[in-house]
Amino acid sequence: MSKTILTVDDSVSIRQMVSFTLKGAGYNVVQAADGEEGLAVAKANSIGLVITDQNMPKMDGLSLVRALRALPAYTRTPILLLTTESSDQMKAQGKAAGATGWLVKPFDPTKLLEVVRRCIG
Amino acid sequence: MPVSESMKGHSGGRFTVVGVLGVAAVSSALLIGLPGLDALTVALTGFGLIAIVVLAGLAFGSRAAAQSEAPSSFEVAEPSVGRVAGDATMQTAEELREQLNRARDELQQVQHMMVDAVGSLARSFEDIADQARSQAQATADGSPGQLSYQQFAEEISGILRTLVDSIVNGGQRSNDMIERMDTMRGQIADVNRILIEIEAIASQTNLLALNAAIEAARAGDAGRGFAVVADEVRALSSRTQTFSSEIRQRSSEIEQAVGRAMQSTSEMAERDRTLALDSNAHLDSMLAKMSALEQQRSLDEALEAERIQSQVARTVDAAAVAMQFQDIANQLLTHVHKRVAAGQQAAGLLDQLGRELAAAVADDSAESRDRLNRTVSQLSAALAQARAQTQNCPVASQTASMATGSVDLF
Repeated sequence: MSKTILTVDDSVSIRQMVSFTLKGAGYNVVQAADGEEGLAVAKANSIGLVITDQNMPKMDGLSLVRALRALPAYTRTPILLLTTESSDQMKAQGKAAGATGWLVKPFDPTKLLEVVRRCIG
Repeated sequence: MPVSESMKGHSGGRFTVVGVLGVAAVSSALLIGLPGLDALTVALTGFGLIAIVVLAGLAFGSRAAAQSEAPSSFEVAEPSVGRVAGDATMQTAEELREQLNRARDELQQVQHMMVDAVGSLARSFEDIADQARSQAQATADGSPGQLSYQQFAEEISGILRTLVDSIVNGGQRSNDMIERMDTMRGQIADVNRILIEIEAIASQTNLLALNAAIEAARAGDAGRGFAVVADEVRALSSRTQTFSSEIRQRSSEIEQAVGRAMQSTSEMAERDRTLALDSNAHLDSMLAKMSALEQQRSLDEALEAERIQSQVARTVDAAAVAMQFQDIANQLLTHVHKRVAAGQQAAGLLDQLGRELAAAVADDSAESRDRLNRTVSQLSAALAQARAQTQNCPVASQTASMATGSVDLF
């Protein structure tokens, strides 16, 4: 019943906190340290929701969103950006790339769970 | 801005100084581009640049100049002072570069330390939070102590009920006994009635014997033998009378004893009955009180468990938010890295500028001036590039606390 959520962030502590929060609510969580790894994980697994950072080595969050949207399996999967970037310009880029939502760090675990529930139940 | 303080009236000739403009560009570009967070870089860059500007001002006596008008010629007055300024610029640039190198190394050190520390901190936090969660859950589900308390109450109540029941049964048995004793009394009365019959027979026999004796006396000698028999019959009748009265006396004693036993048993049964009724009532009210207390206690316990659980949840949430500081601080530090690199590049160009300034002041050749001009424009370009590269900080400048960020759903 519980869907698998992919958290992509080059910061270990953010990955840990996202996993901790979501696992506590009963979700399966898989991790990736940058966009490239995230894309590979998403291709190899059936992911119900992606939560990605923006600024990462190799491939950034917006590029990951575009790459995922190009895959037939991920045209409708919710993708959330979780980043320190908070400018309207960046958010507009996120929306244009096909992201589902934009969360500015640090995240409140309760709010994150609310958003996740709204996206995938 | 130190550069705007003109040093008019200095002994040297009038110069329109390209070098000073370059320095002004360096300082304004770097100082304006730096937000308050990078205090280190500001201090280092500011320190070096102010020194350069003051030295340059001393050397040439500048006019307050706008960046747009870029003068292209200068006249030589005191080459030695120019050389001094050039050397000082180089030294400052060298010092600046050294400071920035160290700052870069130290920044890296801080970043590594933070990654290490927060990694293990987060793991410990997860363990503690998991334990707190499961503990709060266990309290909410009901502790084993509560179960045994319930059992204890039930067992005590069971034992007391058995006792009361046995008292009630005892009373019932006493009543049975009283009934049986009553029957016994009736049987004693029957015996007494039989005794009356026996006594009547004895009395009749006595009378018959008396008559027989009279008849024997009238018969004279012929009736003498019969008179003896009549006497024996009278004696038998008399013994019967005696036995009968003894039996009556014993029977009466038995009747009295049974009566006393009935009395005691009846009193005992009454006492037991009252005790049983009282105990039952008492037990009922005690159990009702205990049950009310127990209900209140489990209600209190449930409320307390709920309170603990929500407190744990709040604390865990707050810690999970705070734990994210490493990522945000790390991004800021990475950005400070970029600024330090820009500072290092600027320091390199300043060094070059110092050299060429000294050379230009020394020979005042067109060639030197061109070189100097080229370096100045190179410097401006490099500064503009550095500024553009460091302009977009990944962390908004108003993020000074760990208040949680906004959520936008498209």
